[in-house]
Amino acid sequence: MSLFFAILFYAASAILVAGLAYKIAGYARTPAPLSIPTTPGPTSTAGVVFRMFREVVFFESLFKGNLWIWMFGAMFHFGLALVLLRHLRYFIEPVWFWVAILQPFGLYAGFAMAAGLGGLWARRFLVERIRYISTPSDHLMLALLLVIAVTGLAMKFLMHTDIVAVTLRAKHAISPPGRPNWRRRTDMAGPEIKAPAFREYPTIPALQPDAMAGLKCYVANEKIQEALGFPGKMADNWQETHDKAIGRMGELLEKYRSLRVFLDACVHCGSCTDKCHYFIGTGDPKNMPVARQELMRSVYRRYFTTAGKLFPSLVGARDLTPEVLDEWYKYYWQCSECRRCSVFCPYGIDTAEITMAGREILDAVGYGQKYSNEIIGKVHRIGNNLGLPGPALQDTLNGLEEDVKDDTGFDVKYPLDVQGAEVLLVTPSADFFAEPHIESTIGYGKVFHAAGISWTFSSKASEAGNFGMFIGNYEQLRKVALRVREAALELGVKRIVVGECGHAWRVAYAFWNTLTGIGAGASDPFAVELQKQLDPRYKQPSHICEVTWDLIQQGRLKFDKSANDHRIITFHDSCNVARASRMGDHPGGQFEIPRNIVRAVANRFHDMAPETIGEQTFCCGGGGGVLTDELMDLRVKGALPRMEALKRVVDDHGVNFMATICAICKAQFSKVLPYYGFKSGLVGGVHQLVSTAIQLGNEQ
Amino acid sequence: MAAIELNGKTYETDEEGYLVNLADWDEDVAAVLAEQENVQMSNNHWEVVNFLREYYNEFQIAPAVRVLTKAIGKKLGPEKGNSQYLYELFPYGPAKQACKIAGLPKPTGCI
Ligand code: SF4
Ligand code: SF4
Repeated sequence: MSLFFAILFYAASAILVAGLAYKIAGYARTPAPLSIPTTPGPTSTAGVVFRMFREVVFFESLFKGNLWIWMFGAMFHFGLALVLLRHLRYFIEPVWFWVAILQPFGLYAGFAMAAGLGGLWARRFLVERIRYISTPSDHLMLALLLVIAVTGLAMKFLMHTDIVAVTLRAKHAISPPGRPNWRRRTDMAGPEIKAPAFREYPTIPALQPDAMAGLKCYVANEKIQEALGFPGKMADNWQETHDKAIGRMGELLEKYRSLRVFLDACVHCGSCTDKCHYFIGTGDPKNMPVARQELMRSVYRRYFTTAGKLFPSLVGARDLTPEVLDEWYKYYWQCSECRRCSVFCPYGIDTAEITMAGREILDAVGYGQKYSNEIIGKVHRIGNNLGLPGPALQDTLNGLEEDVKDDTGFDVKYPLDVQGAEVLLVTPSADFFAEPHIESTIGYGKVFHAAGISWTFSSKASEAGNFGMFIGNYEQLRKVALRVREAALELGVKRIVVGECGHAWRVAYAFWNTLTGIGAGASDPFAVELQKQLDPRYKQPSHICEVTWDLIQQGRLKFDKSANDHRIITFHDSCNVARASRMGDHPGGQFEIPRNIVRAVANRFHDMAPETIGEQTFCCGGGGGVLTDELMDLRVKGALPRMEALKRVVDDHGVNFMATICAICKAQFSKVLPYYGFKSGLVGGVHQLVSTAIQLGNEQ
Repeated sequence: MAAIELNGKTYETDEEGYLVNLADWDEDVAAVLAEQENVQMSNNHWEVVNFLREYYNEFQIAPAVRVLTKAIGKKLGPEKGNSQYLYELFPYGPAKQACKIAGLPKPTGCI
């Protein structure tokens, strides 16, 4: 009998180790062509190590996410660690001094371990959200661990067993087979959370299954699809679509390490479940980040993992059916790729990456979204999202020059396609077209004018935005980004600066280097040429806020702050700036620099509640490719948490201006503010404030 | 695809009711589109619509909001040259609603 158990335990351990090694080898083999930062992006290797340490040892993200899970998780893990150390006494002779010291604590640790597991398991029954995401394997795993803990305690306290006789067995008893990532299992706990420090707005809604199942954005037609090289429409024959989708998924798994890790790593802890603004606003359980991931993970498990192939219902795996594909379309287009959920995930799982993969697979089978794909087509054809041709740009900019002259008496220039300018400013095309965006454009021009820097817009690179990222398509992402490189080479500029656009800054900051050679990274001849051309004394690319803040610090800009006294200002951090990029030279610069500018140009500033800004900022509700009219219901509901936070500062401090540095945020807020009883003019740009206060000089 | 049938002529429209072919547009169909949008067309409405069409013919894009307000201010008097007035005429936004009535494609992007 003992022999049988010994063999069993060795086999289990072997499976665990081999499985883990296999997974890790798979990850190591898979490339990571785009850098996917984790917040708050440390800037040095030591910073990264420290960040990892805090995560692995203290479960920092979980602590931010949910105190109950954190507490039960910590009890279990620390308990387990102590118990393990305590058991060392069976294997070493003589027993080390510190192991001996641990013995009495280890005894209690056994109880902590069991209590932690009990709490985690209870949450799987008691908390609706966690119940929703739990699969039988989640229960099984907790049950196994609990049995181990309880039998261990029983052996100690109820019927003492001579462990040394069965050492082989005890040695491996803590290794449940099959799941390589079992070690950091941390599941949900106890009664519904009212953790006041974490949720000033107690808005965790009850689940409303399928509340948003009826909402579906327009599907791209054949013309739109084919212009991007995607199949025009879905095949009539389902099998063909099915095979294509699974095939594409397999390709993506070979291409992006992030996707593999994210699909494997989730333990259904539930920390992310209440962190998505769309879930908070709609209550639809499929808008819980982990449930959104699960739409794809279930299929991934079925086709790409052994457990899912053998025991689909145990691990929540399912076949890809037309219904599943429809669900993907609906719910992957109800995600703004804002990455808020990733901040609270103990593994840093980024739902945005899974959403992008989902959209990419949908495009590959001819099931694209009209809004985004039409816009990408316009960029290829005309040069920007709006489809503003060069002459229209010129006309608009001429008009701006006249207006600014009328307003200020100064000849501020808004140049287009000027050869040999020092700075190429790449900004979202909405900055030429829409209100309040254009007010910031006026501000950019005034900054360059006041600082005496020669600059230009480009009609070729008249778009900073890059919807290629939204649809998760590397080729489109690169093609759109290359326009900027071409324009920079043609115009011979020395610096590239990006205007107020959230996701553009992510693409510029994190992806341009490898995609285009703006920044180090790419090594093709054009990239090398560009790197030679650009001035190494400046960060390439720079954000307009970095430029303005540098100039302010050098004393090269003067302001009349009182010109902004009619405004009481708050600042909305845009997701992609906050959670997927940086500014300046230290972590968190992306939060400080825009606020520093606001404080330098205005007297009255109040931040919104801390858990709604900075790295925990709430999405405006319109990012990531959902800024389209037919999704208005989602956009309005998704804006709820931001609106609540805004309401606070409006009521408490009389805030009447919410500054932001993103074209999508501006457009989205202009539309949804009235739904919440605010004026649509309450939102504006940081450079709009700069524009109001800046002193242009003495010459008339 | 949806369509509007009028006087024996078929005007093809997209999911959102915008005309697919710019050249199809005439004042009759504009009146129908306005009715669908619950907009009572006055002379000033027509001024906006005509300006949009002229601008589009020259630049292949609807004018920026600022350009439009300025032009309308010139045509109808400075007190009307602001976006508030345009929203009075077209409650769902001059760019989107007026473009639809003018038979122009919907301007889309980060707006
Ligand atoms: S919208 Fe944001 S928070 Fe919600 S699932 Fe997507 S990335 Fe996560
Ligand atoms: S995605 Fe992360 S936070 Fe959400 S359930 Fe999975 S492991 Fe937990």
